[in-house]
Amino acid sequence: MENFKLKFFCFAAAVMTVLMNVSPVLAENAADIAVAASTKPWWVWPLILLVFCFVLGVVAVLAGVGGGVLYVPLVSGFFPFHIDFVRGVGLMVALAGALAAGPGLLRRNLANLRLALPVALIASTFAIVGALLGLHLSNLNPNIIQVLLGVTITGIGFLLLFSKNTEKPVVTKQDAISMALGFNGCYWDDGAKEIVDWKTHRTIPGLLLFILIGMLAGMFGLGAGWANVPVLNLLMGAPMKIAVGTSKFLLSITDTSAAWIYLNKGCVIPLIAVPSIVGLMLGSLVGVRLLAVAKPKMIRIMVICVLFFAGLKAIDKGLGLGLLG
Amino acid sequence: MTKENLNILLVDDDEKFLFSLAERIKLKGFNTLTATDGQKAVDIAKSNKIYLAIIDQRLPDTEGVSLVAQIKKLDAAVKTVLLTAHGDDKIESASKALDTAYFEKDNMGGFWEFLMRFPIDTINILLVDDDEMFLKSMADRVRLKGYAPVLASTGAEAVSAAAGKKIHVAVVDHRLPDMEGLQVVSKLKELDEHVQTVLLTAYGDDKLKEATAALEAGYFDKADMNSFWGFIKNAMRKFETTMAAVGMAHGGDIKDAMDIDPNKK
Repeated sequence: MENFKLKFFCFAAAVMTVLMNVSPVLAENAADIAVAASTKPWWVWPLILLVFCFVLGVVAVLAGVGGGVLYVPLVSGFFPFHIDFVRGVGLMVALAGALAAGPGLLRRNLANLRLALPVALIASTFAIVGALLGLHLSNLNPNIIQVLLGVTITGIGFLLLFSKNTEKPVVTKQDAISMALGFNGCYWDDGAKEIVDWKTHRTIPGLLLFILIGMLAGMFGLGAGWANVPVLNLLMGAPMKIAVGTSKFLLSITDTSAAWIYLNKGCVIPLIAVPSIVGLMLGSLVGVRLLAVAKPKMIRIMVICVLFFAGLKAIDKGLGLGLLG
Repeated sequence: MTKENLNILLVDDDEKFLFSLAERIKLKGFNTLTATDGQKAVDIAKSNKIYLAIIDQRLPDTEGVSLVAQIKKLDAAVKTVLLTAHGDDKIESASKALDTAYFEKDNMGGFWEFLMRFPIDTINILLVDDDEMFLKSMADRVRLKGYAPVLASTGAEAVSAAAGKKIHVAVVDHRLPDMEGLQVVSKLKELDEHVQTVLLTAYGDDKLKEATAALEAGYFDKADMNSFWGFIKNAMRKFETTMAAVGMAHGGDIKDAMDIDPNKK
């Protein structure tokens, strides 16, 4: 038994050391790379990750942003893991949240299947393309992905800062494609005590944007709620609650496609994935209980500031400037 | 009979409201027929088997209460609901006299709860137990699932209920004041060999389990049902609801997240 424990610890320590330094797509060269032995016990980083992700889970709920969008820039910026592993686990984190939320959202008629499925088809197809492209670029030079991630994260910061979602957007005329795909419905608004009919418009620009969203989701493992909701709500005119519910459900399809690519390339390491997912899920459960007492607006502004910093740090790291430490 | 086979007639002159109501009822799995005035509604009722008619009080050519009477005249079995934005006590009393449910449009929550209980008389479930509280709670749950409970507190009552009505499923307690649950199951099977039966007991043992199986009846221990599975089911449902709230919060919809959250005070 003692022998088994010793072997397991050695294996875990070796995995932790390798994954901090070596890209999975360069795995064939791994043996040639000199890896400095870590002086810390193997369980230190998973434990730190668990605690960090727990806090991240609480903050993400209070700030109204997805777990994936905070996870990838912060973990890639402040943890010594290779960016490919972080992106792979980022997708799994976003996927776990979406899969857990999906049934409840569908049961409450908040996620609209007719709206989600055509959009998911486009986004998931391009998420696969994005994942393959991301891994290819990382294979060429991980700094390319680091810089692109930094630019994207900074962009997301601006998007979160300036986009103001509308609860019930006015759609005067439903376009033909939206009508043919059945992008409409109704829901009971308990506050206003009325049935709210909704329909969408600007279907073509919306669907085209989902090509880009799918690519970004697959390439950076960020989840895509940050982009889905503004496109569904502000551009296509779906009511806020339908846009949010459908977006979350959508992630469960989009991220699954991209996650397969990362899994297949060996980018999802259980030693990173398990504490991350468990920490974020537990944090989310606590965060939702704090919604009534916290000040989400203040936390959201703080999170946006952190995103700007993480984005700039990723650019700095990718370009090797060393300005932000 | 399935929900898709049940026609619900909707009568309202407000076309937007009518469309939105029809869409929502369709989502619940029913078939809907719509009319914007009383005459059209009567024509539809003449040529279709209507299960439930939901009628607005103010119509261009007639009053909702009169239309209810006309439709009931065509088929007394039609269930009717009067929906109005201009209700008063008189209209409510008239609805009651016509055996019609009455809802005001500013209280649609009650209406949807009412509709959720349909179709209530398609499947009859006979519940037999001498514990009145348990029987009542089971009946409420069965009704919430959309079925019609038939209650009996003794074996004799159960057999007489089954003789006068088609029973699809019977849930029978083993210890009854006048006979044993297995005897009731056996008598119900004599009356209708297709009836599905479940024996429910707080005093189960292996012999009873075997005897139940011999009668092709299901067997459940009350203790197991109330504690373990109840706990698991509740925990899973609560987790699912909390995660839906988390999903809404992640998308920035804090208000709906707080509304959904099962832990809110």
